[in-house]
Amino acid sequence: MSILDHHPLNKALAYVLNHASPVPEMPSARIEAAAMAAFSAQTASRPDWVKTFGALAASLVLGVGGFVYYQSWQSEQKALTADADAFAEQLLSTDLDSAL
Amino acid sequence: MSNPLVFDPLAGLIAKAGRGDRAAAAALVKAVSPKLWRISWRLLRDAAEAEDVTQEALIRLWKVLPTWQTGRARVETWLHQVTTNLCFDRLRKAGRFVDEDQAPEPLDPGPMPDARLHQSALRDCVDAALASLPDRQRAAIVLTHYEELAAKDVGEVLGISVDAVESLLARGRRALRLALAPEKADLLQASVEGHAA
Repeated sequence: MSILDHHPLNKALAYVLNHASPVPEMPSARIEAAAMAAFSAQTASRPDWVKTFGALAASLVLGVGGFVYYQSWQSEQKALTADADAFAEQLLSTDLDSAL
Repeated sequence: MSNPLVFDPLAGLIAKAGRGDRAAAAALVKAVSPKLWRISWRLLRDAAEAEDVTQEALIRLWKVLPTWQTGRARVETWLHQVTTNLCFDRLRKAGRFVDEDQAPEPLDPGPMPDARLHQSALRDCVDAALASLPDRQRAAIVLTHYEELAAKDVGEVLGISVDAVESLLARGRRALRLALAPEKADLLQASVEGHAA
């Protein structure tokens, strides 16, 4: 600690200057309201961000999953249709009546 | 080399506020904001700007709360540093920042009429004397004499050594003594009346 910190002349200088030129009263209500609003915004921002990100991620997973499933279902249907067509062709090309 | 742990009387409030405790945050604001207001007002001499700086310093505190490491520094010292730097930034942006090497040598204003100055005139003289100081000298005077911070803390706030703080203070006091020499009797009388009241 400096020897200057508690020198009586320094205390007197501070008293004289402060007495002659006091600091205006702090607008406590405004400063406290603004600080607490910023605090609320800061503490609320994380859950909101998490919620938004979570919803986006879920939508992405469902969308991609649904698209992939639809694509695989469609190709499966095409394969089944092709099989059925081939079977029908086979039946038609065979002389079933004469065989029966 | 690691620094020794620093005791911080506000550590409990900081920890609670960091976990989202509103009551602790409100108590922190009440504890620290008056000093931030006084420092910023003394450095900027403008109530609206001082209010902005005080709010900005508190917002910066909220931002560092989740990662604040108790024991590394006192939160008040950190806030004083932020406030002083915000004030210096504003003074620089407004072209009002005066460095020590740019400041003119203080001149002895010479004898004044022996009439007692009116209180408001006296206040104007003190304001003018403080305002005429280079900004880092004014910050050193404000932090040491008005806010009664130790030279070591002032050094941390201004990012300089204790020797450099003492040098700033010596030059600031010399300039103030010269600038306020004609008002010495009125100032002392005002001081005596203040003590008596």
